[in-house]
Amino acid sequence: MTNRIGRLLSLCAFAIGGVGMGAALAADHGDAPLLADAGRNDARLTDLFAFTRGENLVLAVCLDPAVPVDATEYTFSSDLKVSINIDNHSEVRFDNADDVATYGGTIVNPNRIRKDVSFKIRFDRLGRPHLRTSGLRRQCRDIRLFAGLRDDPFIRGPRLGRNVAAIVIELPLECVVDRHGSHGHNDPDNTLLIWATSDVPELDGPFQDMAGRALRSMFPENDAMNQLEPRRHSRELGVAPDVVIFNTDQPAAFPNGRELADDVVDLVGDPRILGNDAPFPTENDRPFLSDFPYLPTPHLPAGLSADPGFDRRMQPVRE
Amino acid sequence: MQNTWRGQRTGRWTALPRAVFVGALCLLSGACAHESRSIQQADQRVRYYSQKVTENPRSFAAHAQLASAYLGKARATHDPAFLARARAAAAESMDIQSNYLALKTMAAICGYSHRFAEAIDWANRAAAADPADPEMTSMRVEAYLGLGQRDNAVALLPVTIDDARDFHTAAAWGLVCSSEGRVDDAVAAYRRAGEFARAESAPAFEVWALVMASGAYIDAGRVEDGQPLLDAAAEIDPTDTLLRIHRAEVAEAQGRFGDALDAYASLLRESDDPAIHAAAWRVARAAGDEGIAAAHFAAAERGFKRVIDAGEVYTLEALAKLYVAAEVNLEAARDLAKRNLEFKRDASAMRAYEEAVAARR
Repeated sequence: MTNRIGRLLSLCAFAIGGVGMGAALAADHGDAPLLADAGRNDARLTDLFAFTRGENLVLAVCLDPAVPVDATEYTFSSDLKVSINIDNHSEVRFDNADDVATYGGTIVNPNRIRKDVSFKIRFDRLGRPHLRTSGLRRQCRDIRLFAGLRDDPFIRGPRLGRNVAAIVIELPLECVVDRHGSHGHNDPDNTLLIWATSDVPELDGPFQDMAGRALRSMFPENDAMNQLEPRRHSRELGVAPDVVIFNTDQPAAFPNGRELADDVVDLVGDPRILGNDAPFPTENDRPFLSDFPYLPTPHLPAGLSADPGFDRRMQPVRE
Repeated sequence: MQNTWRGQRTGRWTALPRAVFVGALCLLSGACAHESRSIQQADQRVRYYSQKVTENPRSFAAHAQLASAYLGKARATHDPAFLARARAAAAESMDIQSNYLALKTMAAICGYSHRFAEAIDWANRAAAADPADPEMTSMRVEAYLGLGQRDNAVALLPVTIDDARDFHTAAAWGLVCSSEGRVDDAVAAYRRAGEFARAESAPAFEVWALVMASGAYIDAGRVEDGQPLLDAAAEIDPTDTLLRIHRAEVAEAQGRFGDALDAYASLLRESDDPAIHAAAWRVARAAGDEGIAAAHFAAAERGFKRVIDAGEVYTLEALAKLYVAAEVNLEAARDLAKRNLEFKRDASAMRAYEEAVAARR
């Protein structure tokens, strides 16, 4: 005799309800299985870009690898906290060819990485972003902020036709580095260490996901990076800190910063990613924009138009 | 790093498998049941996410999480009203914007409530958003099996059980094999799922897998083969409800009707589950205890009807089977079984209809 109700739909009974068991370990382009298990795909960081446009620094962070294909807008949750952090004091050397090729340089004192500049993006009850900054140089007056739905700029087969939530910040580079310092090119002050974090209140810890150089913390063996500040990566994990090293005296080209068009899948060459990259794109499926916010407009179902998102210039609100 | 859900310390999110807990009243004794752990957890989650929604009214994530919390409460309490709340919260979430968690929750709600065609629609939409989520795959497999579409279910899975690389895929294979009566294959698949669960330090999932494996044996009449698996599950969590149900089934199969009734009574003190009442009725009748049997029958019938009266369909088959087994209300049984086929067309549903038709003759 059987208990059919007991056995049927047992799997459905497992699903949801706050249940998860590493489902996201099988997921691509978004790590932090803890966030996936908690149903907080909206807090999963998918990419971090750092490049320049003229005299401006552009920072773009993408989130939520599971945006449904029928979404035409993106309303960020008001309990989500996203931060983009910059260390502009750490010395970085460029004399180790392997480190330069892998990380963009060698951080001399990885244990001393700190947030010299921070951009904290929060969202109000209507989903509108609010930006607070710290550590900007006094002469910085003009920041441009975008938040909304964009085409996923990750050049990768499974991501063709997919959208993400994007936050883009553009500001004069001189707000972050001393471009007129006396040390000249490759001055450590002109090299930035950049990383982003996301935090939701239902999980403990200062943050639950971290984005640095592409294709590092997304792998299960590096998952611990996602909940540790970069200054702890070397000491506690024995690995190079997961940050974007961006020598702003040079054009952004992965791993020096990250341009939108950098095909990091091919550049990193990890077989785990290459193995299922079909149809192996070498460029993004939608053209990048020549103007802010630079990320392509989103894919949309036929006949529908996209919400333009939040796009505004603002005076920085300092913490 | 130990990550905790605020208000409840856990290593990871904990599962609420086959949540048969809950129970405000014990039917037979009239005593009030103490709230089970599952009910407390479900209540806690509903309170937490209700507060989140209040504080973040435009957060699609908060509404979707509240929907999943209500689904958990529905499973824990067997109160269909919470399914309605779950659907409403998921709809609210999607009104703000289409999102994966809401789609996934709707698929789970529809699967739980036996609306398998709808479950597949929602699950397909969710799978398009996250093709790599094996949970979605297993939900679709289960929904296809519920519709009797075995080929569609298998098409979602790797070629063999050994190719399964995660708990959900292995478990889905177990369901497929169980539905086909391939007992040894089902057991192998469930045991593989259990191994994945152990590797992930997910004891609730491991217990579920072991119990499901034992269930495959029990269904095939191989009770003695299933017993060691139940023992292994008991070493992990002897309080698991699904385990306790299966132990009761073993006791019944072995003619230990008193033990079976005691086990069901214990479960019913925690949960007013009509399915357990139906099982207890069967045992009490076999034991010749007409009074106890009648009380359980009435409670089972009442519980199944409550669900149907709420507009749900997931107890149509159970009530039809109850009537056929009791040889009462046979015309209603046929109607219930026939209506059930609009939503569920697996072998169990087909058999229930055939038996209901035959009983009327």
